[in-house]
Amino acid sequence: MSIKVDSLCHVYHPGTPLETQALSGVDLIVERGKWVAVVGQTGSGKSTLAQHLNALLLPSSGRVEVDGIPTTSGAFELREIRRKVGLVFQYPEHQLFAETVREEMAFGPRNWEFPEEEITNSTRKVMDLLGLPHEILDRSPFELSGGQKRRLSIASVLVSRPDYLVLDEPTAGLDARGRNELLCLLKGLVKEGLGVVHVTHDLELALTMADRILVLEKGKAVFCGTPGSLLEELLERPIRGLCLPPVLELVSGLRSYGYSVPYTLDSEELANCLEREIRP
Amino acid sequence: MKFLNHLTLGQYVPANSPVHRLDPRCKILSVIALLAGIFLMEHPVAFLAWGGLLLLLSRFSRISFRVVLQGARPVVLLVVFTAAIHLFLTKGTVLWEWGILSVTREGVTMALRMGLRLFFLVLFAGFLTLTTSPMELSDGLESLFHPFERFGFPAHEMAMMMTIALRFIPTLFDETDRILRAQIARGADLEHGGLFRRMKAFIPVLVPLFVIVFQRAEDLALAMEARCYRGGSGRTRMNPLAWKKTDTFAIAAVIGIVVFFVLLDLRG
Repeated sequence: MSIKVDSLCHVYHPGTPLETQALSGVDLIVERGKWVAVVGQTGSGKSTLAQHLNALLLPSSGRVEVDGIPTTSGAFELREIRRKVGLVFQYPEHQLFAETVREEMAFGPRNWEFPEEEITNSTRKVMDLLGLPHEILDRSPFELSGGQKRRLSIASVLVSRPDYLVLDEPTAGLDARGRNELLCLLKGLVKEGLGVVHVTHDLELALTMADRILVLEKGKAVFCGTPGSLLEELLERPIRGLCLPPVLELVSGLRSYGYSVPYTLDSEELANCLEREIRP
Repeated sequence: MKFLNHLTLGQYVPANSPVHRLDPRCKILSVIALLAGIFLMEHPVAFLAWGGLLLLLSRFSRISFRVVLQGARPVVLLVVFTAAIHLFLTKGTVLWEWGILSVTREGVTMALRMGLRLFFLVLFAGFLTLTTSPMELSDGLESLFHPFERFGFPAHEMAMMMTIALRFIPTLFDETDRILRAQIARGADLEHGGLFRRMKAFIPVLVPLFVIVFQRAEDLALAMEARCYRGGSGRTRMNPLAWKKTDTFAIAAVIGIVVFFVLLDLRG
């Protein structure tokens, strides 16, 4: 049970002067219960890849399969794929439309014809999970605070109980606290068996959170593997378009001066090690 | 999957051609003259000459004829519909009959005339937006309407409104596309069901769009105020319009051609 992306290519506006190759030959496997980060600069094809995962875009060539069903299947299978793979766009609060939070949450499940009772249960569960108080159920989504709106829009995708969740820059525009809360919550969901695809340009975030990282550069996969191996690779030779997080920059500098400090992203751990090194 | 990635009607195609360089006022007035000429056409054959003129214009403005024709794509249905109505509903000498449908000699002429007239109207009008940037266009209109300000006509405000509207069309297109995708990802079905169901299905797209529009309008108003915008009086511009000799020549040529065509047409 996984999403399999096999030598995926995507061309925008084929046959027009605006023709652009957004993805060329990308491979990726997303399993349930795993956190996969897709890292790359603006225009590297991250968002295009994200939309392929739930059949909003279809391959120009290559294949995308969700639990064995190719995204090029008929309308019936397509609906099932879209339920299995929840997609949270960048700034998802722009999709809010309903009169009440309750209606907003029910939109997805009703489209997939969940029974009303199940919708109510699922709504309560997901709202608890995301720390949204039940009192807001009858309020307008537009009255909520920015952080609440963001969480509500993610909740409105989770309420249809997807098996995979694709998030495009979910932490953009959130403050440090909101960001950490959201990441913690996603980590918890991954533990419960959700497959997460996290599209981001923040390498540090990917290194700390993900089980596997795919690095895209101009539509090509330049790296795919564990955070550990990406670190080794990055320290050996720079990957174009990616720069080391500042902490690691410092570590590699210190090591070249002969300090034996570990490769870590945790600045506190680094400080402790350094202290031990320096103390006579 | 295609949602909204087609080009819009009459999009500006930047190029450095003699037509592009003309003063927008000259182009607006020329188009008015051309459209008036087309309205006066009676004989379907005369449209051959107009077709020739269109080809010539496309050469002068360095825009491929294919792109020019593409501009008429949105109105093809309207043209066919208009032609069909005239074809079947004009009374006269019957050429062909089937049930209640009958085609008359006058009907054929009428259908050709109206269809071609509509078709050429759109194509010539399209040239204006193909060769003139929205900025120039609204500057030109403002300048042309300026004399009417004496009678209380808000020329500057109208031009500014037009500029803003044109500026936001592509942005709003992108926004609509994004929201559409987001709702489809949440299982929205916009393609099936009857008319009423489909209209209802668009509510989740329209509401967020309106929210974004109002937000943007507010941001823009704030930004304009922060730059001390206070209407048109005493405002200078970065690129003042300058009427050149070529403009006089161009408009004289256009009016000459139109008069010539109309005279030819009246003679039969």
